[in-house]
Amino acid sequence: MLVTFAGSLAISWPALGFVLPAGDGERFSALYVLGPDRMAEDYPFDVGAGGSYRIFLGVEDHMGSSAYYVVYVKLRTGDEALPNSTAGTPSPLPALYEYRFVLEDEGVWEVPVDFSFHGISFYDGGCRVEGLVLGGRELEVDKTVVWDSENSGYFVELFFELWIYDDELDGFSFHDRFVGVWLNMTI
Amino acid sequence: MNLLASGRRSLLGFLLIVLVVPPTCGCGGVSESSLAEASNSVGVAEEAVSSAFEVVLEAEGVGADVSGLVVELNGAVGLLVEARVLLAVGLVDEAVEAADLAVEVAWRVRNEAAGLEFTLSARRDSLFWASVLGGAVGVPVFLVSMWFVWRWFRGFYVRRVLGLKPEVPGDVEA
Repeated sequence: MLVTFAGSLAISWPALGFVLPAGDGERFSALYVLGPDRMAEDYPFDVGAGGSYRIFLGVEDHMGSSAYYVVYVKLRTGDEALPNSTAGTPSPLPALYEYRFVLEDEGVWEVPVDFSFHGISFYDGGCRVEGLVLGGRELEVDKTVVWDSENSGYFVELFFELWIYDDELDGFSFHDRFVGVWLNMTI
Repeated sequence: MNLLASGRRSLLGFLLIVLVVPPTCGCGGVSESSLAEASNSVGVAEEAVSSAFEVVLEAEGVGADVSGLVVELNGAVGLLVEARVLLAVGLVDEAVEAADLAVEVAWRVRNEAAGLEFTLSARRDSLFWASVLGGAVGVPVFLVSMWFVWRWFRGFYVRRVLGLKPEVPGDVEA
C-alpha cells in the first residue's frame, strides 16, 4: 500500500510541483551604514565646516525576487521626527537626496557617501547649519541645533530611509527600514 | 466704427504683449511651459522605468534569468535620477534629454522582458500540461500494474503455501 502511494506521488510530483507553493524563506531587505573603511566602526562623529567625511551605504535584497528601491537621505535634529517603525510611516522631513536602483534577489548595492557641511555658525546655546554637500551636490538644509547638555554637543542625525516599489500601489512605499549616523557639529 | 477702432486697439495690445513680454518669465530664465514640459518628460520616464521593472518582475516570476535586464534597467534608472537632478537645478533641456533617453532604455528593457516572459510562459505551460498528462496517464498505469503485481504475488504465495507438505511430529527424527 505504502509502495503504491509513494509511487503514485512520485509520478504526479512534476505536475504537483507547479501547483504546490514553494517553501520560501523569510523575505526582507537589509539597509546598513558602514564606516570609511567599510567596517561597522570609526563612523564620523565630530564634524565641522571644511571637513570631508565618508560612510558607506548598502542595501541587500532578500525579497525572493528583484526589487526597485529608493533610499531617501534626510537630516534631522534631536527633536525632529524619525520614521515610526510601529506605524510603518516615514519621517515627515523632506528628502535632501535620493538613490534609486534595481536589485536582483540576493543582490547587494553599496555606495560611498561623501559629505561635508558648510555655513556652520554658533551662537549662545545654539548652532546653525546652512548647507550640506552630498555626493558633490550642494544642498540647503538650514537647521538650528540646540545644545544637548546631557551629551554635551550639537547633534544632528544624517539618516537614510528605504522605500520599495510596490506594483499594487503603482509607486514607492516606505519599507520600514532606516539607519543613520549621529554627528556632533563642531567649529 | 467704434467697434473697429476697439478691435484694432485690442490687436495692437495683443501684438505689444507678444513682442514685449519674452517667452521666458521668472524661474531663472526658464519658461513655465518648458519647466512643465520637462516635468512631464520626467514623469513619463518614471512611468516607463516602473512599467519596465514590473515586466522584468513578471519575467523573473516565470523563471527567466533577468541579470542582464536588471543591469540595463539600472542604466535607465540612472538616467531618470540624472533627469530629476537636472530638472531640480533648472536645466530643463538637459533634463528632457536624459528623461527621453531613460524612456528609450526602459522601453527596450520592457520589450526584451516581455519577449522573454512570453517564451518562458509558453514553455512553462507546455511543461505543466505534459506533467499533468504524464501524471494522469502514469498514475492509473502504475496503479493497474501494481494490482497485477499484487495478483501475481498473491497467486504465487498461495501456490507456495498449498504446495507445502504437512509435517507430522512423529516423522521428525529425534
